[in-house]
Amino acid sequence: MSELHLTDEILMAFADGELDQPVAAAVARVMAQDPAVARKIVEFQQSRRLTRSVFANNLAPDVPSELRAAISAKIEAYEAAVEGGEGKQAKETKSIWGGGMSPVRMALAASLAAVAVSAAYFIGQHSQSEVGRLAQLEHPRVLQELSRLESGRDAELPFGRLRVISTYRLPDNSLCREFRLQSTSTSTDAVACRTDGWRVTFALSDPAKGAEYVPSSGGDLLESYLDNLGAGNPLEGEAEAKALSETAR
Amino acid sequence: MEDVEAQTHLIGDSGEDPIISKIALAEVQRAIDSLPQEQREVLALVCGEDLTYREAAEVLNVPIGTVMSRLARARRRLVEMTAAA
Repeated sequence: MSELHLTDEILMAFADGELDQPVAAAVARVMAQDPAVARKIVEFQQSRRLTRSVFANNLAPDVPSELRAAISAKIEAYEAAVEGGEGKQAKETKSIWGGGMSPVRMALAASLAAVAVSAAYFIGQHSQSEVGRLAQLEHPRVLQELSRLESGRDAELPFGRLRVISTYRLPDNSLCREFRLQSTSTSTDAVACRTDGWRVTFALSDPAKGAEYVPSSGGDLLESYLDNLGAGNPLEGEAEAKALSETAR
Repeated sequence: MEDVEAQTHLIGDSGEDPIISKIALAEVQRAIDSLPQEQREVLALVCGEDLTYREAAEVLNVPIGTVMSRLARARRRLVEMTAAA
C-alpha cells in the first residue's frame, strides 16, 4: 500500500495549489487528522501572504537591475502567452519591484489548497475565541444532533441554532455532515466527519473583514473542501436516514 | 489595496492588535533581506508575482525541484524569523 511522504516541499506545494488533485486530496486527508501537518501548511500560506504584502508595499530589498530586466521580460512573455489562451489563468498585475501597483490575485484564490488551509487555519489557531468556537462545534449536544437531525432541519441549542445542511458519504465510506452553528455574534459553517465519533474537520466563521483576502465566498470554500474530500452528491431521504441510523449503533 | 493594518487578518485571528502586524511585516522584510539572493528571487516570483513553480523555473532557468527547495527554505526561514519576533 502506497504512503504519501509529506515533505515540506509537498506541503508547500499544497499550500500554493500546485499539487495535482489526487495528491492534494491525500494531503487534505492527512491534514484533517494531523494538526502538525495543518500547522505547517498554514505557515506556508502565511509566509506567502506576508511576502506578498512586503512586495506589494514596496518593502522588498533591491534586486539587481539585470535580473529585474530579465524577469520582467520573461513575465511579459508569459502574459502574452496567457492572453493568447495558453497556460494558466491570467495574472492581472506584474510589478514586484518598484511598479507601485498592488498584485491582484491573492494566495488565497479559490484553490483546493487555500480551501483546506482555511480549515487548518481555524483548527490550528489557539486563541481563546477560536478554541471556544471549536469547542462549541464539537459540543456533545451538537454531535448528538449530527447523528439524529435530517438535513434541512434546525435544533435550538443553549449556545445557538444548529442547522444540518447536508450529508455525504466519502469514498472511504466515512460519513460527513455540513452544518451551520449560528449564535448571536457568530455564524460558523462547518463539516464534521465520523469515524469512531464525529470530528469537526472544517470550520469557517464570519467572512474575513479584509474582503480582499477572501476572493471566494465561504460557501465556495466549503464546497471546494467537500469536493476535495470526494464528497460527491449529498445523501437524501432514505439514504440519509439509513446512514444516520448507522451512527446510532 | 493591501495595507499594513489589513494584515491583522493574515497573521492571526480577528482582534489581534494591528501593531503585531506591523512588527511582523518588518520582520518579514528583514528576513527577506537576509536570504540568499537565489532564494529571494524565487520568493519574489512565486509569492510576489504568483508565478507557478514551473514558470519560475523557466524564468530562472533552473529545475522545478530547485525552485521548490529554494522556496521552501526561504519560507521556513521567514516563519522562523517572524515567530521569533
